[in-house]
Amino acid sequence: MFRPRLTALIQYGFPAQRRFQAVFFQVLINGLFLTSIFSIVALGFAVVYGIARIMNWAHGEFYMLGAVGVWLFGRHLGLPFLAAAIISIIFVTLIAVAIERTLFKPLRGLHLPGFVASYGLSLVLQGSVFIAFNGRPKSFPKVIHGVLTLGPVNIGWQRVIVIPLAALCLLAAFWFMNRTKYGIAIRAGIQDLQAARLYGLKMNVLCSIAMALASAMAAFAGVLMSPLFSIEPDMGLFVMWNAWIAVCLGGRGNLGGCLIVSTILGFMTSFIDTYLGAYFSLIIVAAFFLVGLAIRPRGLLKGMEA
Amino acid sequence: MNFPRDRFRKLLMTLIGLIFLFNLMFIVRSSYLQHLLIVILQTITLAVSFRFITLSGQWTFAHFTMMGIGAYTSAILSTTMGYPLWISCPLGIVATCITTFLLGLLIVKTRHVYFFFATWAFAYVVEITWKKLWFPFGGFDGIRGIPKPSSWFSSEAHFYYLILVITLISVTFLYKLEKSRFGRTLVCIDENEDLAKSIGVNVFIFRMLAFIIGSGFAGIIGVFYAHYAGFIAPPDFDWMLNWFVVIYLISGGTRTVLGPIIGTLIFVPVMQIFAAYQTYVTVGIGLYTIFVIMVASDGIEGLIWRLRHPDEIGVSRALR
Repeated sequence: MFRPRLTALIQYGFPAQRRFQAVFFQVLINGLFLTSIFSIVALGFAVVYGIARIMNWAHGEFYMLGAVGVWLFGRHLGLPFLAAAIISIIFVTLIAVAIERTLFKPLRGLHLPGFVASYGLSLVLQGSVFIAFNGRPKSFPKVIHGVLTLGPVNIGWQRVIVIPLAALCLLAAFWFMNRTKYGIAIRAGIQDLQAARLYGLKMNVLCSIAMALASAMAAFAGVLMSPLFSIEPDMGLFVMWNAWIAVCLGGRGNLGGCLIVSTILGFMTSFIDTYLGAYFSLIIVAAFFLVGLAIRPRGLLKGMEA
Repeated sequence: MNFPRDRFRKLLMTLIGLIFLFNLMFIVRSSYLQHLLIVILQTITLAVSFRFITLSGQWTFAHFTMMGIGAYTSAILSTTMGYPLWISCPLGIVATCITTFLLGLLIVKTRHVYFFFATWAFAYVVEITWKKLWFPFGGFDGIRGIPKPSSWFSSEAHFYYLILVITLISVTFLYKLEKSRFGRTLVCIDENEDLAKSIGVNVFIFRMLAFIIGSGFAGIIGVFYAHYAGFIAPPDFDWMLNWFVVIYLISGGTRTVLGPIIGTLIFVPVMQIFAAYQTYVTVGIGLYTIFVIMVASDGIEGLIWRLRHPDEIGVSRALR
């Protein structure tokens, strides 16, 4: 009578331990997934903050617009996913550069007015999408079907594919920042604005390029997310929240520190979400942020002087 | 007696204003308009105390949350615990001050936008706590049946007198405090923190005190609100409302105490008028914020002041 159960135990290991392993690896991969999204958004945010000195709260709305664009061109107008994604990223970049040229240009270097104006902009974008959607969240069908099975772990390919794509995006961004003429100029501006100006770097051009890069990355994150999450006006808030914490704690203008803190946040969110509950992750992340600020008011890692 | 003519005029204006305010309830008979006046008065106190915190360069984003802490403390003490009001109301204010002190210990060292965002994180956490914890806070349902101060407070008009007295006292107190040595030290800290340190000002204690005093007044309003409404729930202290206080302030102006009062007097009725068009209000507020920041960053009051004194430059205290 006990034999079947016993053989099962011998074959698959103890159930509790086995379940623990499966969930643990799944949580690990989910943490990697969240990390990749947070770091793409946070990196663009950090670049814009570094060069234009504007805490751009509307950055999360570029992420949201990327996903909305995929829905608009892919679902509503019926284009294939790839075309919809590319058009959406181009559109968001154009909108962001237009906003940078008109709204943010006079506010460069002013902390509070820049933040308040960008928050107003975020309200405008959210409200417009809310009106356009008539208050109903939209969804986009999965593009890549199938499930990846690694031993006890099952994860959808749609979710897995985000990680290498995000890594590619980050590599491209770091290549741009370290190897090209304009990227090096932006880094010089982040390090010392006055000296960069003395050497004849044109701030208007650099700010526009930084904004284009940042908004394209945010829109790319939105495109990656669009088949996974529901597309709604306030989907940017959750990502923006983490991006902001990553920039504040990672040392302002310190791109490596920003990545490190987003990794910590991604794994923290994933683990606490699974083992304690989603509300606890918000509370514990906020507590992490407040305590981090209490210990080092200028960021845990070395950043520029704000 | 040699009485200056200018001062006499000022006194007369104040007296007429007070008589008008105290007799307003005989003109306004509609209970909805009376309620609106109460909301305006309590928002004025909130906005003025918020401005007091910003004197030292800290823009808090947890002002409505502090009000909520006062309201929840007093409400829980007077309903679930059954304490009389003369114990629960002061304890509500004390609880607000203690919470502010503990939060301040963590974040008073941060500056400008980081302070703003750190308080926002706090507001977010507190709101989630109210929503999720059923036992003391009542979850989404809130707390019902909060007792009225006494049997005399039977209609809105009676509460109007109470909030009028609270508002007059707190606005006068904050105005006098700003003119005193303490207030001028705060302005000095905002303008040049290093200079203030070099002449021996303990920046940490001064900013902490400004934070505690400002939030304490929010706590007083919270206690009043709980016992006026008789029912509180998390949406009453939604974090979006914290944003509204900032809008009252930047649209009114931060130069003098008059700024937040003007901002509130304009904005609260406008929000009431457009309350039925919630979907469009978000866009409208966003556009308005951008407009104010781009065109008049020292607000309506600053605009009037600049029109009246066209040849004086650099006195107005714009947003920083």
